[in-house]
Amino acid sequence: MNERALRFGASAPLVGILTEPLPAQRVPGAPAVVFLNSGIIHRVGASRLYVQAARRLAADGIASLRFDFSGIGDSESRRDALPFVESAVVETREAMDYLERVTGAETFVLAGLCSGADMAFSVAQVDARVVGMAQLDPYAYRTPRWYLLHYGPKVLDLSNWIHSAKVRLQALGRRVRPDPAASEASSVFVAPEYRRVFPPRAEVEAGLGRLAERGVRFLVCFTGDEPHFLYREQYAESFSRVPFGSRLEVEYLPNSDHTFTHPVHQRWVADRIAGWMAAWTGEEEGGAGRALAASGAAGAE
Amino acid sequence: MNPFFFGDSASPLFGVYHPAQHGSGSPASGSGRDHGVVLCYPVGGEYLRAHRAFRQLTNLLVRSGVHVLRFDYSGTGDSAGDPLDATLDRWTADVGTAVEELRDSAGITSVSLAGLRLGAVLALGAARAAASDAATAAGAPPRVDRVALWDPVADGRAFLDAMEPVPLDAASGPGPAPSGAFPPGTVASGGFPWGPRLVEQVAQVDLQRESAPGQAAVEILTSAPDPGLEAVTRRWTEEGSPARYRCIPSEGDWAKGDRFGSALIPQAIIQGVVEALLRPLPSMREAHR
Repeated sequence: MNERALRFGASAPLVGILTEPLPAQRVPGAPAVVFLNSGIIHRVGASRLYVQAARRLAADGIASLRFDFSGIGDSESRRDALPFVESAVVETREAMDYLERVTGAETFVLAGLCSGADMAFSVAQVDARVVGMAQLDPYAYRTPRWYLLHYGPKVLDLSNWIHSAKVRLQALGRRVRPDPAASEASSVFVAPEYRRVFPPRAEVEAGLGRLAERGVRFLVCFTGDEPHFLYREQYAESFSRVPFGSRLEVEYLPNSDHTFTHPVHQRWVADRIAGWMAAWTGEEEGGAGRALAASGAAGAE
Repeated sequence: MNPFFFGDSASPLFGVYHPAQHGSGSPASGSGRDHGVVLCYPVGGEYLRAHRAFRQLTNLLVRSGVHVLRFDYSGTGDSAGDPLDATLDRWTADVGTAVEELRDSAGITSVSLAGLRLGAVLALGAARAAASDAATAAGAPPRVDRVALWDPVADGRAFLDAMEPVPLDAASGPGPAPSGAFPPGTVASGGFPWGPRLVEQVAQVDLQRESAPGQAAVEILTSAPDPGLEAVTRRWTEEGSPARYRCIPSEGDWAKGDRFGSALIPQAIIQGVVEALLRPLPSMREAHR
């Protein structure tokens, strides 16, 4: 494995780390992976997850780039006023352009946690070079079964009703005022510019549908910290009109927190992404992956 | 700025070198020569929360005419290595490697260290090692002029207790077992594994019992009053290391974050660290006053 520090990007100097397999290990035609920032955590990823995944992928012959969007980590801020949701798309495409030049990769997998997953979705909509997405805690939408699982036990628990009544009574006659201590404390914090709001389900469903028809593959992993997600089948059920076919793989780690702070979960996720990438590297049983890679990767235009 | 890998090619360290912006601010004082600072990050979850504050500190220093190198220790950030191999000795040696790298990159002789939390402990250790090396080379100038300790971990056991370590064998998760295994005694905290040797070494950290770090001047800055560290500076000054203590009350707790990954940027104490690094180096007579 080799790692190089890079500066690239036409619109703002962006900093990234290119992780490449040794030449003898490289899988010809395999997509390169691009890791996208989660919030304002710099490119190493929450709990250093992206570094671990990048090195795990390199061992399987896959090149990857982890980089900082403008204004995050080591990348400089843009001089224009482009909002983050637009600049992130521009800069991810610049990252793919750069990888195409230096590694020869023609197709890409976008990987990201939370806002990184959101940006992967946005970029995939406009760039046909994206043939796969590995999303951690992406957009999620409730289903009838979610409501049953979430509220069912509470409805039958008398203490919940008593607690709810107490909260409502205490709220009566009490004005909620800002906490001056909290606002003072917040003056030393810098929060991400991106405020996560899930788009309407129909909008995401339509977008996923377009990607599925294009042949994009999906690895989706939810943690127990995602309140909108409660069971593995929920993702497919909430997007029932999307023709995922066999191209969707969903994982649910109810014991993991949002930032994968437990090293066992970190290793598991790195292994899982590498295993999923085997469809392109041919390491999976049956060796279908090398054919997939040679064919231009899953029907990309 | 220049992001790059340096050190042992078999296990390179990642760093970002920021050359001084000469003419855009007041020149670094120090000894009157070109001056550089190696920044030492905290470790674990505190590292992620401090990254942005270190960029801010870097920007202020380079605008003041100081060269800066900030870097990741072995097994952390973008540097090579397995965190399970990490020890305080290894990380302290990494700081020494970074000092030499900055000296070569910037073409300077005067280098200071600034470290936050556990990074302060490493900076202090590296300053002590540099003083020891200089002592063995007759007539050699100090290799580290000054060390700034920013909210240092003064009591390693208290630090370990506060980070609420979780034994790794208590992990549970769905799916197949992950590749590799963790050595017995490894714990997890802040998203990072802490091997048994590292935990053992951190537990032994006790600044109250540390001797003076040799020739380097010492600046200790804390976000809350700490009479114990104030007493340490008096003792170190008497032992021959001119030391100064300053409390700059600041909000925020490096050990705690939120799930959105907000960055902590306590401007007042960051400015205080800059001022500490730009002060003229005290003579021993001044320090004893």
